[in-house]
Amino acid sequence: MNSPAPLGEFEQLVLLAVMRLEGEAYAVPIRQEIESRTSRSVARGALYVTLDRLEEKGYLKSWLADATAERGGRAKRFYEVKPAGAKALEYSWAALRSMWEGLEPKRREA
Amino acid sequence: MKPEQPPRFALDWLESTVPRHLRESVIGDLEEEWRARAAKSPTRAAFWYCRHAAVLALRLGWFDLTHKQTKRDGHAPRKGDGLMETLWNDARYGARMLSRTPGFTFVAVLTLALGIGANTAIFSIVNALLVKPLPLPDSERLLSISGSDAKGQQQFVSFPDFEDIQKQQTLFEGFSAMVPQSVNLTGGVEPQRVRGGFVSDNFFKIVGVEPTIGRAFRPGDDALSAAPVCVLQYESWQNVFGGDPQIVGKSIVLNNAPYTVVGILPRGFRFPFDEVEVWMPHHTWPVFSAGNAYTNRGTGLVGPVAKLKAGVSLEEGRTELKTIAARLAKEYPAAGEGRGLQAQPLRDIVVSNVRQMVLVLMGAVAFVLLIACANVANLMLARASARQTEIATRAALGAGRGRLMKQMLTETALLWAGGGIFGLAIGYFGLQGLMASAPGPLPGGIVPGLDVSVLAFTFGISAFTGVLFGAFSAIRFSRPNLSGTLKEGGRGGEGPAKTRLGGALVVAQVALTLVMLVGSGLMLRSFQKLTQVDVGFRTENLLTLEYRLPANKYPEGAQQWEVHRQIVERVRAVPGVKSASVVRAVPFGGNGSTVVFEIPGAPPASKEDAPRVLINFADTHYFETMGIPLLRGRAMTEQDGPSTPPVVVIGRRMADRYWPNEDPVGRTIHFPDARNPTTATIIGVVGDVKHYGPADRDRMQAYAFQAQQPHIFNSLVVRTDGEPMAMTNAVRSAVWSVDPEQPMWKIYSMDFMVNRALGQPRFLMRLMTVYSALALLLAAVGLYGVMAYSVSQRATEIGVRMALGAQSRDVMNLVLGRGFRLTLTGLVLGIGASLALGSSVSSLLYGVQASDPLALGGAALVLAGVALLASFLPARRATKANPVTVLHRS
Repeated sequence: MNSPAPLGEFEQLVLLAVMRLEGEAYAVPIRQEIESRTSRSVARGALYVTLDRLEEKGYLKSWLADATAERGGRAKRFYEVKPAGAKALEYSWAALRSMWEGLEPKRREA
Repeated sequence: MKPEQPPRFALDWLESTVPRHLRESVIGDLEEEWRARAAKSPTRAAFWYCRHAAVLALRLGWFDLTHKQTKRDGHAPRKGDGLMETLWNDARYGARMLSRTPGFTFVAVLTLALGIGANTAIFSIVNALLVKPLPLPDSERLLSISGSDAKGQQQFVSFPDFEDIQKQQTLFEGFSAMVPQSVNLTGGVEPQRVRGGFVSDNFFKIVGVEPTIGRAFRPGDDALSAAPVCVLQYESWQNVFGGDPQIVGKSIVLNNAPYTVVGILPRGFRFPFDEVEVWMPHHTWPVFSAGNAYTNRGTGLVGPVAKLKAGVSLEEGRTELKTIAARLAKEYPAAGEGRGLQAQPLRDIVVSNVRQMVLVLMGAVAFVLLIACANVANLMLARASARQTEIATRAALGAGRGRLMKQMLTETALLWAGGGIFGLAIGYFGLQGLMASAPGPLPGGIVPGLDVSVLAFTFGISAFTGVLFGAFSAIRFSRPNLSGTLKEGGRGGEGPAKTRLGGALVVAQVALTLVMLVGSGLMLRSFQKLTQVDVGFRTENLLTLEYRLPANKYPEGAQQWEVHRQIVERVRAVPGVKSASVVRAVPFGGNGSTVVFEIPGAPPASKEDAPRVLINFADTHYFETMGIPLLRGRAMTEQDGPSTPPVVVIGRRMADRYWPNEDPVGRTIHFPDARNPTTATIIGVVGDVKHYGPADRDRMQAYAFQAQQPHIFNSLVVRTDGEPMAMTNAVRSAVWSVDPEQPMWKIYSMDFMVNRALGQPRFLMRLMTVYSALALLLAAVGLYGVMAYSVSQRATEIGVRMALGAQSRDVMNLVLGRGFRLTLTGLVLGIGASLALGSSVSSLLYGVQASDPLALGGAALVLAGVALLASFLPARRATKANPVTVLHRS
């Protein structure tokens, strides 16, 4: 089978946040994006570990940008979703969608 | 002010823990968020930063640790893969298992920590005293030399002998005289006493120290014709001379004579004897400069210090000294036939007083550690066998024997690491406590510390015992009988071998604990005896001090006695003083000397076998002041004096020995060895005193009259109405009214001196009590553990018995019987061991035999009681069990 390793839920959230931030994605806004959209708190450590793992799996690429003064002269690490990452997200979405078929929340409640 | 940086230490921590490739961005991100917060509240932001830095450092540091392995292997971690990964998993699994049984973990770690901690504290002291070199260069080559007479009795070396030894020796770098004696320093606000050392001009070369300011002694500085010079200890330069930078080249007045200061020794330098503050050439020592010391071969005065040449062994050095001594004895037989020379490493001399005590304490803590290890071993055995089902399951699922063993070892290692770390902390604080409660600082200015060798030692024993017992239980239980254990329904069957092992450990613990208890019992009894000793005089409300008149100011004996007499007279007149006297050597003060004597008419003894008596020099009111009872005759009076026949008062022991059935008063004693041989008439008999401390043996004693044999050195004893120390200033002023330049020292109350003499035995007794209580506690825990475990293992058997009609008394007997047998075996072994080890402590005991039945019996009784209680609790639980429930469970 050619399908990539399945993504965990948090991994999906991180990948989606990186996509949404379109070139402005580094850890601080990524975390804010997830927290504001899902109303749940995200541990910084968990986020770094996940970003690192996703990059290792080939789903993300990252680079260090120029250092800025308000960060004590430290550079930001920006992230961008690689095609493999986008593909993995598609798979996860497809898998979920097919599982949900006929069970959409509204209908179930009715 | 707005802070420019987040808290430095938190930042540093992040820098050192976050994996390199994430470091830059993680720290930047956190700082960015911190800045936003710091703008509102800097304090809160700082706390926020610290909290998050700590969490991130832990999380990412750990991530890095587990992750590196994955990267190296090139695949995701899976259980059982890779050495590091396995170790890590084992450690995590082990930690989880340990945290699931917090009671066991707590007891095991605490037990180990106490054992290791007690060892660390004591070993730090042992290390400083007996292992580490003295704080002097090449100190292992430094020797203390003494002479010996034909019987091997130690004595000083005469000056002509000392010079001949120097000329004839070939294996030593040099010899130096070393005579410690306090000197009077005058010219300041108040006269002072400083501790002096009279040495040869090569002393500093031998000891290996150079003054930092000025110079050391030059060759020739100790010649009789040389001008007096001195070298100051850094601390005395600071304290006595206020660190005067111009002092070198200046003249100071010591013993009423001018000395030129030529050098200041480096800060912190201390010769391990007598805390000398000022060093002077030996020709200025009053005893040397007076009389014929330099030519008289018959009188020993020098206790030399020597340094072996590099590469020369102590034995070679001793052999050469022996040869030289034999040659001298043959050449100058008049100065003592068969006299010899002895050499001792300087360290042995320095630590000789405390060596035995320290070794006994080390033995005691080693016992505590053994007991602790036995305890943990027992706990591990019980635990391992309780986990047999789990282990069997894991083995059935394919875990190899090596893998299981590794798992067991890891758990043990975790326990021991915990014990080691906490033990180190206990050791550190224990050492502080020990030094704080010790009767005084260690000899020779030795300061113990937790250094690398102590760390290595504690972790060494901790690791060794850990591996030993870990491997033991691992080997035993990594061979599970799979089908058997699983078939029994998960009830780990108790093999007889295992019970026997646990039992053997308990027996060993009981035996070791008994030895400890006997030891502390002996110390207790000995201390009790010491405090009850009748010292022969009244110790309360007694003030004592010492002083030495300058011989060049009062060269004549008559002048000296006149000063002493006036001092006593003035002190007696001080309000609040009941009585005052002078005596050469005050009891418990450490001074004292013996002389050879002959009883006219008695068969003459050979020179070597001549009897000796402890001689002291008193005044007319001494016995009255001290409260020493006059048993017969009279004390010295004003009518006795330089021109009347010499008188002597003897102690009861001497009287009973030589005149058992007659009155010694009126008889004479001849003292041949004194510089002026005298025959004295006995005028009275007094009670004996314990001269060197409460533990002193009974000695033959005699008192001469100071008016007839005056001397520059004296001690003042003052009986006061109230608190003696409150009289200090009044007494000092009284002395200064006679001579305002006269310093005094060792101003103590007799109660203080008695207390000081009891310091070491009290310290030893307290420590032994603490350590044996610790041992008792550990042994009780061990016994309880084994009994409780054995009861739980035999629950089914007990249930069946009770179902078949056994009474709870029978069950009680069954369980208690086993506990009793184990305890009894341990007690018997322990008593045997105590008797065998008795000789090692006997030198520390007073008035008690090492085989003291009270100490032995008491210890056995206490231990038996505790042991019975420890096995009674599990036994009662067994009888309370409902047989139906127990049988149902299985």
